[in-house]
Order: sequence, then structure tokens, then C-alpha cells
Amino acid sequence: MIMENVNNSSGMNTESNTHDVLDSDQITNDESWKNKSRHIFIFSSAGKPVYSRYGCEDELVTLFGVMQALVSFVQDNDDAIEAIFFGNKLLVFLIKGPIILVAVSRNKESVKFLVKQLMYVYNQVVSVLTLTRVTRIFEQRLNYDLRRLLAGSERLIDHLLTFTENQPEFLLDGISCLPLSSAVRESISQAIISTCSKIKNLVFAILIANDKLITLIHMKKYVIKPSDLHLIINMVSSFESFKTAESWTPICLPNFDSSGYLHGHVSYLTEECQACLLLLTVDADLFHELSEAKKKITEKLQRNQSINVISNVISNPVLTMNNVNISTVRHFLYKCKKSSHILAPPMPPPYDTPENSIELLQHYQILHSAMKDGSSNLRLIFQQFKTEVMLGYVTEKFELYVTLDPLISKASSTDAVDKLIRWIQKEEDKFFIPHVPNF
Amino acid sequence: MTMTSNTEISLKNFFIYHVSFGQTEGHEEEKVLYFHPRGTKMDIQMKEVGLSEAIVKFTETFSSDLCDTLQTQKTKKFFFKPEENIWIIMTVNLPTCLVGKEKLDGIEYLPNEVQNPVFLAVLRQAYLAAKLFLGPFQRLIDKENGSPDLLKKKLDFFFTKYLLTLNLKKCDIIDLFQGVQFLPLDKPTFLHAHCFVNLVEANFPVVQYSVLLFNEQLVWSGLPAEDAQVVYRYLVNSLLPCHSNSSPDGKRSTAKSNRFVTGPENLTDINITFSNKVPRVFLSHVPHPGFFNLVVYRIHETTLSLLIPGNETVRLDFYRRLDSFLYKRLEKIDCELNEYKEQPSSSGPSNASDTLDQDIRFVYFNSMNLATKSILDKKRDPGGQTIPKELLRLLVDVQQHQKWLAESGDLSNETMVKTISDHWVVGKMSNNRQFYIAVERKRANLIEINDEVRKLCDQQLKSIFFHV
Repeated sequence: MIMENVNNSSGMNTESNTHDVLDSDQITNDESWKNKSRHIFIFSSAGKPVYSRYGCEDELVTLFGVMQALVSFVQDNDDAIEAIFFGNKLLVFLIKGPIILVAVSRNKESVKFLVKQLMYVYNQVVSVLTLTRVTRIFEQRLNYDLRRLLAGSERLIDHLLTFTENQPEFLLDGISCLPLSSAVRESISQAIISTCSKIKNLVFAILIANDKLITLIHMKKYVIKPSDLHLIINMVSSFESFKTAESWTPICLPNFDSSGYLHGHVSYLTEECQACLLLLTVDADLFHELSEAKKKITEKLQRNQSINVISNVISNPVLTMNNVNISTVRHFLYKCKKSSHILAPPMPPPYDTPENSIELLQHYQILHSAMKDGSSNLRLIFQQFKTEVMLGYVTEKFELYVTLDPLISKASSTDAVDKLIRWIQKEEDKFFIPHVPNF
Repeated sequence: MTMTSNTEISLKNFFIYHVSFGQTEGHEEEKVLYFHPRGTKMDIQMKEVGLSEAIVKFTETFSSDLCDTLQTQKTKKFFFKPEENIWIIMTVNLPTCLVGKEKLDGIEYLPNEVQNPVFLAVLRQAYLAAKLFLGPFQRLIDKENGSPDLLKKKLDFFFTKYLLTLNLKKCDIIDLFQGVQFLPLDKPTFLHAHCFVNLVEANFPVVQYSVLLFNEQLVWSGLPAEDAQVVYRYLVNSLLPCHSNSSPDGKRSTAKSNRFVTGPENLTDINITFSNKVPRVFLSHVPHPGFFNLVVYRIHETTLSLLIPGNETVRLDFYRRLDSFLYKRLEKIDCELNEYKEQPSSSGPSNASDTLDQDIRFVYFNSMNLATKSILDKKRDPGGQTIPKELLRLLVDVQQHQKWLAESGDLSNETMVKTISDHWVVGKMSNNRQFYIAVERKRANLIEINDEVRKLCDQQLKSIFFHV
């Protein structure tokens, strides 16, 4: 009976001793722990802790036990617990077989938003272990401590969470591309294709810089979803060590194939050009062949000068609000629906401080959630905030969220948005990759 | 159970428990003060209470904010703690629809169609309605030396009837505000009504508070806004509709026996003191909270409610004097109010609607005096369509969106949205006033809608501030 479980914490988990319970009480009574803007917990369906974003899991044994009890109590009634609302706070459960994830947020997000964030965290775990392995482990031992296998991966989860909270790519389910003329991008793709087309079992070749996509070449019939690409980008930016040596790393892409690993050859083009090339294959013995291929690709890119172009764009961003030059438009986010590529200029003053940029992103999130997560889907939203006016606009082709001067009239705001759309469409080739080439 | 059609929201259970009862093992069932449906097995009752207590305790780990909603795949549970140690819980089954090709792939639950704030307001209103007749729950327990038995009986009596009247399918933004509709008047008419109420109170000092209604609209109330709201809803939703149904010759009857909506059936029997013939209602926000006798007197469309302290015995003699004092005077007020209503220049929802475009609806709410004004429920032309559910829900979405913006510092703000089915909703919030406008108009643009809203504001919100 659940009441007993909760009131009598020592009976909650047979393995927790008195010491654990005491520690647990201490941390959950800590105000700074309570006030964290977003907690994330992972545990197994047996109540074994796997991950806590703040505080050591061992100090939270009681809490994990309570959460597990709530989940199984509702399951016993042939139902599933989804969310708890308290004040402006929200707690969301995501139950994925033997793994249970919980998010606690103080930021008044929608259930959908938090479920998506938990889904990313779950995918990160699968990406490290593969679903087949996770399932097998818990079939064999329900009480298994998954932390043994995830040691070292906490950092990936932490980094991914920061990404989901700070980057518009997560909000819009899209990928930013490094701005390049279509001719340069084409020559880069060709250099890769001409080198790799003969290599069997190469599934994806991906070139990224600054978390932005330069090009992606895929084996026929296989596509890569933005959320898988986000995991790849997360991996690359989580580990500095990729910069110093070429690596051979297993990675599972949950939306591509959750049952097995791809093997990735990961390396930066040159010391001067901080673009990272990933060659992903299903063949575990391909390292040397791919290593050779990478050298050839780098040579070709040096010969046709593209490597200098890439370095230049990395150090001198070509997309700024000054280039856009529409005086009433302060900032915007644009997503091309067909390619899922997005355009998100760096935030100009006054949004260029960490605090202000997070606040603006939160406003975008409010707008996005009002448009998509309410009881009906919206086509347009005009929202006046204290410090700016924002406008969201969704069509068959694109999603657009614009930040405008605070006192702008409705007529001027629609004019400005029309101008902006025309500007983006004119520059489309530079910012988006219309056709993803294959080998 | 396999379902073969779409289902609508329904009430799964409704219960009240007291945290400090049933603490000893084996006596847990003492916690339960009321449980609907009646006859629910005790172990199910205990599981429901146990889950609710566990959820409340669990959320305390993260915040002192009280838990208000638990969402599961199939249900939503709404929590309300009206008094120390007392929780009221209402669980609803989520509506479902059939999905997939030929609707054979199974069912999908629709949590978004059950909007939390609306049902939390419904739950709160249920408590306020109970408190109006029972008084605070703990007070009743204390009066019985700590025994909850009398409270349990009274809760059972009250809620068994009350829950039957709950129509969850029809709950919308109006339930969210639970507001009072004021009758907008010009100054002379309003002052006449006000003077009349003062005169009654001066001549009958035993009367502590008065409430004057014209049809379903409030003309004058001497009560604090929170109490006025609860009394108003009782009068408008329960008492007056019952009374007009029971009078055989309809509204215009002025027969003596019918003038007292609550009170004696006739004024001639000298042997009876009618002290307990009138409802006793509990007022919570007056300087001396307690029970009051509610005497309601009605002529034509005008209703005067008088609140007399519960310890006063109201004798037949009082009703006779009251009747002879009120009869002519109230009839005159009724005439005046009717005349004002007939004037073409007067504004008010009934008249304003004539000048409104057919595709525009609105709700206004002032959180200071709890005034609402709305044209929402039906199209003004009798053959017209009712407002789409999607649009009703969007009004709540926009209201919640703005409420949250206001809480996070954007005190006055404006939101305009357009749905994929070409419905527009505009929300304006400032100085505790909220105004929501829905427009169903194809191919309109932001600027046209903005102009419509500006026109509507000029037209509708001028006279209403008279009462603020």
C-alpha cells in the first residue's frame, strides 16, 4: 500500500540503510537543491537510481523509491502516471520499459516540452548502450545498477541538457547549417563523395563546425533525423579529446537503429580548421580505411581552397542581424519545414549577455509552446512583452518567430515580417541545404 | 473493456478527506469525510486517498506550492485544500477518440480537452457552495467536540444532490471566472435603486446586508465581493430558477404568496414563527463571519435578498411589515429598471449584442470586483450555431497564457492568435481587468482584427467601469 511506503521511508528500499535515509533527508531539505530550475532523474523500474542532475544519486535513494512507488501504484490500476502540476511548477514522468525518467521544472513549460527533453535524455542513454543491451540487462537482472555501464556518460547527459535549454535547435527540432555559398558546399560534398563512394558499409559522412552542419552525405534510403544529429553534435562538443586525436567510437542512433551501434571515425580536418568530420559505418573493422579516406578528403579540400573558406566563416560569422538590416527586427528564428534546417542569427545587443539571451530564448519558447502545445494549433501569434513584441507565424513551408521593437504598431510589424521573409528566401541557398546528397 | 465510440469527459470520483483523522493503523478509513460514488469499496476509497496523500507529500520535496493536478494516461485528478488538513479531490475520466484507419487502431485519450484551470475552478466552486450552507468544515467538527459524524451526514446530503447538477461537458471559461454579471445603469436609475436599498435597511435594522438583482444581473450588493459571488450564484443558479418553475402562472405573478421566494407560504397564519423556513447561509468575508437567514422577495423581474443574522428569530409579523413596505416600492424599482432596459441608448449585453457583428464573441472579467460580462454561449440569432469547442478552449489557453505573463512581470499585455481553422482570439489584460474576444472570420488579417477589437472596447467597456 502506497501510503505506508511513502510515510515509512526506511521500508521503501530494502537495500537502503539508515545512513542513506539520513543523507537523503539532508539533501532534499537543502533550499538550493529544491530551487534548481530543472531537476532530471533517471531510475530503473525496480527503483534503482541511474542519474540525478543535481545531487549524488546515493543521497536520493528515498526519493527514487517514492517515484518508483508512484509509477507502479498507478500502473497497478492499469493506467500510467504522466504529470503533476503544483503551482507554476510541473513534474513529468516518461516511462520507457525498464527505464523511468522524471523532470521537475519551475519554468512553466508544457508537458510536451518536458517529455521531449526526457526523450532526448533517454535517447542519450540508448545511444551509449543500445536498446537491445538495456532490455537484455533488465530481463536478466531487474535490480541491476545501470550506473556501472553508464560511468563516464553522465557528462554527455549534462551537456545534452544544457543544449536542450540553451539552443533554439532543440526547441524547433532543427539543424543549423554553416552559411556557405551553394558552390562551395557542393565542392565540399563532392570531395567527400568522390573519396568515399567506393567504401562499402559507410552509412553517413557528416561535417560539422561550431555545432552547425556543413554537409551530410548518406547511403541511399537512409536518412538521419534531427534528434539523432543532435546526439552526434552533443558527443562531438562534449569531448575535447576528439580535437587532439582521431578516434574510433561506437554510437547508437536511436531513431536510425536502436538495436545496434554504428562505428564512427571522428576527427577534425586540421589544427587550423576546426571542422569535425564523422564517418559512420556498420563495419567495426573499417578504421584504417576511413582514416585513409579522411586524409584524402582533407587534401582535396585544401587543394580546392574550401578549407580556408570554412575557417573564415567559423571565425567571421556572416549571418548577423546587421546583415539582415531591417531596423525594427531585433532577432528571429526561422525553420524550413522540408529540410528541418533552421536559421538562428547570433543574438545582438541587448540580448548578447548570457542572462538576456536565455530570457529571449524563453520568450521564444513561450511563443512556440502557445502555438503548438495548446488545445488548438495556431497559425499566428502576436505577443506584446514588456521589453519586445514577438510574432510567430507558421505556414506549410516554414515556421518563423520574430522579435520586434516593443512599441511597434501592428501594421509596421506585419510589414517588417514580410520584408524579413523576402530576405530569407533570397538568401535561402546559403543558409539551408536543399538536397542532401548520397554516396 | 473495449470502446466502440468516442467518449466524453465524466466524473470518476469526488472525495473529501481529513489528514489528521485515521492516523492509527487499521483506522485509516476515518480519514474519509465523503466519497462519491456512494458504495465504493473501502479498499478502493483508501487507495484513492492514499495516492492523493502520497502525491501531495511527494511534491512537497520540491516546493511548498500545493499540488493541484495529477495527470495520468486515462484520468485527471484535481486537488483543492480549502481548509487546514482538509482536501477535496475530484477525478475525471479523460475524453477519448478512436484513432487509426477505420477507427480500429484503438483509442486515444485527450488530456488537452480537459483544461486544468477550468476544473480547478469547478472544484473550488463546489466547496464554496457547500460552505455557504454548512459553514467551514472544521468549524462543524469542532462544534461536535471533534466528531466528524454530523459533518459527514451534511456533506453526504449536500454533495449527493450537488454532484448531480455538475455538467462537466459544459464547463468553460465562464466557470473559470465564476463571476457576477452586473447590470450597467445610468446614474439616476442606479441611485434610485441604491436609495431604495438604504431605505429598506434603515427601516428594518435587523437586515444586515442586501443584494438587489434584476433578472440574472446584479444591481446592488452590500456584501464583500467574495460572499456576493457565492450568494449570487446560489440565487441565479438554484433558488430563482426553482421558484419561477414552481409558480404556475409564470413570471408576472404578483400574488402575495409568491412574492417571498424564501419565507412564509402565507401571511395569515398567526400561530407560526417562520424562523427556520428560510435558508441559512454562511458568510465568510463579512466582519463577523457566521450564519445568516436569507429572505428573498421578488416582484416581476426584480429580486431583493436580505441577510439577517442567524441568531435573530424572524417572526411572521416581520414578513407582514416587510411585504407592506416593499410591495409598492419594489414594483416601482422594477418598472424603472424595465424602462431603462427598453431605452435604445442603454448598453448591456442584451442590447449591445444587436450592434455586434455576428462573428464576434467576448468575455470580460474584473478580478477586483469579480464582475463578468459576456456574449459567448450562443449566437444571437436563434437559428445560429453555438460557439465551437475549440474556440472556447482557446479562450482559456489565451487567458492562462496571459495570467502567467502577468505573474512573471508583464502586468499588462496583449495577445492575438489565429488558429489553423481561421479563428481569432484576442486577449487584453491590464489593471486586473481581462478582456477576451473571439472572432470567427475567414481571411481576416491582424490589422482588421485589431480594428474590430478597438471598436468593441469602445462600445463595451465604457459603461461597465461605472461599477468599478
